[in-house]
Amino acid sequence: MLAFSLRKQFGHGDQARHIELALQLAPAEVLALSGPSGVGKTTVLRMLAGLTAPDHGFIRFAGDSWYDSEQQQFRPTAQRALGYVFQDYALFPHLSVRDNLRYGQRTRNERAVAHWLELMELTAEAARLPAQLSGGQKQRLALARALIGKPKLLLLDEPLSALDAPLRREIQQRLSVALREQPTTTILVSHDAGEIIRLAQRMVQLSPNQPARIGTPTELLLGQLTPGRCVLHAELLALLPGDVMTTAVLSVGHDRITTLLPPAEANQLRLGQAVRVELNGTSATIVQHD
Amino acid sequence: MNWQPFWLTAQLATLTTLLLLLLCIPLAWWLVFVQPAQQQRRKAVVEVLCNLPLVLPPTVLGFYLLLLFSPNHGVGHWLQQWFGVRLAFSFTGLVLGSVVFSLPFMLQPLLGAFRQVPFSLIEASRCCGKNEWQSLWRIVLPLSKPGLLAGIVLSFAHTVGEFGVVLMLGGNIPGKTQVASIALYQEVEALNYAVAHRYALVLVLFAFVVLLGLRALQRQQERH
Repeated sequence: MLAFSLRKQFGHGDQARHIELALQLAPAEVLALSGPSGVGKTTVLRMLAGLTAPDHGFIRFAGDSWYDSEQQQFRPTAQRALGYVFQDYALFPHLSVRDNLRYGQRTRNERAVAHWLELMELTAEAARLPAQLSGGQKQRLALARALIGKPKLLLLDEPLSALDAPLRREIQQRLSVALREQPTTTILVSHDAGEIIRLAQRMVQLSPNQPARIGTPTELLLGQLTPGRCVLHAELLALLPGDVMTTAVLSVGHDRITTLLPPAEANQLRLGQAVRVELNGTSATIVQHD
Repeated sequence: MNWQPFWLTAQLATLTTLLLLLLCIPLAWWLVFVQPAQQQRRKAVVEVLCNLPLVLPPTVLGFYLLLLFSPNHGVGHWLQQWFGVRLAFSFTGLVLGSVVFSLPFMLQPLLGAFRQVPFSLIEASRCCGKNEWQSLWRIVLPLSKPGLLAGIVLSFAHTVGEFGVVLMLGGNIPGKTQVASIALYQEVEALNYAVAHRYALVLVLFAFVVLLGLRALQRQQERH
């Protein structure tokens, strides 16, 4: 379990801001961090990684103390057993795809390298340099390099923001598969509501100089989505007939949401059916089904 | 022509270059990568001090080193008394003087190369569980190869061409401190121009080859 309480002051004078966040994450939980630019999302990740020193607080992972301001204790980044995907990927330009993966390992294991190359469909590119890869391939390599060392904690800093929508969707699926195969406590910085709902079980919304909001992705996001902007795949879990309308219970990502349907429309649906839902305003609408 | 001064010059330049590598790589690492947002003032002072030999007349540096190494003063006295080591007018003193004098010629190319390495790569290396030494050896040095090679070539060549510091600190002792540039000077003083020409020609050819090699390295880097 990851538990932390961190405080950090930014800037000076009128520009001064601070970030204060205390959380506990269950093992293998995926948490999304969201909020406007400059609010400190990346800083939270960097503090957890030991790349930026907090002003005050503690970080504990599975009983190990990584940082404690009271005890003046600080565990260096290299000893925290974490995987980090940077916004710019930070791939080593002089190392081949295979060597980038090898570098991410704590102990040398060629079978693991072959496995991750295959999982991320990079086997054909193994001898190439990062400069010879497409954006999506670079992203897949960055993810594989972060995961190949079997990290205790995976930190993803807007890993898909530079990719176009179809590619983003593809990498999200690969990430989902990788996290299913190797369950890892993960913190994901993202602005993309669909990505957050698909990948995260909980989310934290940071606002400048205000307490953070913590909840499930749909709880926090439903009221803020622009109509038509967020259409997701869902599965129909239950239909609860009422006097006037039928309540449909849908599984979206890791969340459950409900929506009201006229009985005639509900009669056309069957349990377990894949549907597409549009999240807008404060509700969800089924927009397409088989 | 006596080849002994050239052999001594080669020994001096090789030792100086090796010592500079050992000294400047960690120094450049500290200046560029250790807490880059902090210790700025201290780092600026260290960098300026290291660059002083670029602008100081070699005789000024030679004079102060001579005083420092003299058995009648401070460090020189202490070394002589406790370890029986005499630095003034000795080959060892010459090597130490050359290290000080050629320091910026190794440090500057290294700093330039290290500053080209994005700091996010060092952070990524740390996140891969690698310590600072592994990050230096596997990431920073391979990416700084052109700067490293330029530093080696320039330091070596600069030490070969050194005159003022060598004369002040080492004097002109054949087989001990008489390097090629000093031997040339001695032949000119003795109006022995034919031999002086030969010494000069070898030094010119050496400088030409070094600069040609450096240019080839730069071209190679541009192609990559």
